[in-house]
Amino acid sequence: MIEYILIDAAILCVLLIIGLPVPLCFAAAVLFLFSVGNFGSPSFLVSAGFSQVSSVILLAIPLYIIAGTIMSQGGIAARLIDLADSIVGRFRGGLGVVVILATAVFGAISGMASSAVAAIGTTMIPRMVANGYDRGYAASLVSCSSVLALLLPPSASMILYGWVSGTSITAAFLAPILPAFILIALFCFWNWVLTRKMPLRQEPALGAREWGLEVARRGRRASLGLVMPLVILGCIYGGITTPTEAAAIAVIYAVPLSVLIYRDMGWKDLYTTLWKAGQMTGVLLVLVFFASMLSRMLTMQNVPQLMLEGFTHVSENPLVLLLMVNLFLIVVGMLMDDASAILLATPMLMPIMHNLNIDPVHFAAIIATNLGMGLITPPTAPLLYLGSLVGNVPLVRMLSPTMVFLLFAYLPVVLLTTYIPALSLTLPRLMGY
Amino acid sequence: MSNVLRGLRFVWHAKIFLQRLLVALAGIGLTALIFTQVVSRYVFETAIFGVEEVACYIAVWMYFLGASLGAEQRGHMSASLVELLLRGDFAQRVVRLLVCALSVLLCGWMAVWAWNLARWSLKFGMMSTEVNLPVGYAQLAMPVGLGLMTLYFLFELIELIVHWKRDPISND
Repeated sequence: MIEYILIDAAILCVLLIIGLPVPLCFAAAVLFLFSVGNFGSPSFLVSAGFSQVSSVILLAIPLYIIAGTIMSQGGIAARLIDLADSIVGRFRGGLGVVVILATAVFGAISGMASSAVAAIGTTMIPRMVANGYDRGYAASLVSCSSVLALLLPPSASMILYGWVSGTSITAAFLAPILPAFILIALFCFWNWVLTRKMPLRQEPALGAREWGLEVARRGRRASLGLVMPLVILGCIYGGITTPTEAAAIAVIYAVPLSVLIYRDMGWKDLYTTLWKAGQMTGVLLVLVFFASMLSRMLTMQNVPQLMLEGFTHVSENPLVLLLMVNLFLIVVGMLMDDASAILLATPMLMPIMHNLNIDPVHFAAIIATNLGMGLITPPTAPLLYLGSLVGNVPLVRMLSPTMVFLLFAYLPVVLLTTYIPALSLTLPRLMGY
Repeated sequence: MSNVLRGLRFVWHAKIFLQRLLVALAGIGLTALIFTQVVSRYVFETAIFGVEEVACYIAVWMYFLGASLGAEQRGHMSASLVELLLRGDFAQRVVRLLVCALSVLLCGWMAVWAWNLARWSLKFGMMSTEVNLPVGYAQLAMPVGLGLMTLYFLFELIELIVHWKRDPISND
């Protein structure tokens, strides 16, 4: 059977490369394995996929996507960007820092890196270009920072990871936070370095008093929007609600805020926002449906155990094994989006992690950072393509800054997260997980 | 003939409108149910039995109808390297035709599998564990959504063939 599984993996890769929609690549892999293996009735597989997508835990995903879309369309995100701009926008390269922070906050709320690129990129790339930033650099910065959506809670990827691995979702949310903060700091540093020679247009510096007043004015405008992430995180980590319930509260909070208080969104816009969020959710969850079917088939064929044997055959040294896991995850992240990669890679790698005595909470941070790096690693790099589309710039012009972010920001964070467990376990332990 | 075409166009747009409406209503229903459970649990200190199960079944309809809207808007995720690997317009067009044909075949195949499961559940009266809902009605979302996706991919395929020589290739 092993040769059929290798052919199946090859079919999956070829179909991904020719541009077949990702869920259908999984469907093709399912059909191939079904035709060569002995899996009984197809209804069993469809039933397995159905039981997975009708899970209560996954209800958090549509709710966070709805909350994030309302936030973006209803003026909440714009006010948060304005506030960040007033704090750091007047420093040299400050607009780049605004983009990093805004993408982190927006990606965290919407839970999806691609929606962060679309929402922040559409408004911020033209603004950066108007202020003298190179267009390729602007698009690269937005794409690279959007990966923070995977790392900061409430992230759709961590919901999926917790669901697949049986780990507490709240603990999985906490694990990649410190690596994310290190990444934000490194992005800010490299933004400062890379923009030094750009002919940036600076707004005139304000005196301390004027600056304070400006921050306070924009802070007041954004204060109700700032409450939203605080409500979500407060409800989850205060032990008040589950992540799914916190997401419903976020939607209920965002609707009157956008429609009645800010009035940046009419009822008709809300209707459009709702069906578009439903579409985004559907595109993601149909992928979960097919990936779950494939994952079930691979598990039935004992593939996770075979992978463990294959990895330990190469080396039994834990450091080498972890490095191989890193490489495997980065390659998987290059080939497919984060949700598909988590659904496929988590059950495959769990036996190796057990073998290495890696805590599943630590593995949450490892998988998030590695797959995040894969998402922006050429040649596939789905987020870079999206950034190039949103920023209306050829991919080639984004490559040079992207390589700097990859090698000098992402890679160190991936290695630190993998080899220093305390980085990802400290916060969950502090919160009692 | 033009009246028939106008009629067909009306039905087509009405169908898309209905899909969007159902997806939006599912989003509202889902949020309302979970929020009601929060209020009930934390304010009135009593949980409403079966709310999550109903919410999950509404969500399944939202997922599959939403996915079909994704196919209609050509918004499904893909990681194509074709533009990088193949320079010629003709070669790119052939690959796109192949992708469309494969999409129709795979979606159609999966829709048939899903229909068989839903039909079986309805025939044997499979009920949900908490509120005793017929599971088949939730499972029907799969063949309906996948069937609509097949239809949209088929239209894309026909459009590609009809406009084979006329339009330059685009990814819209």
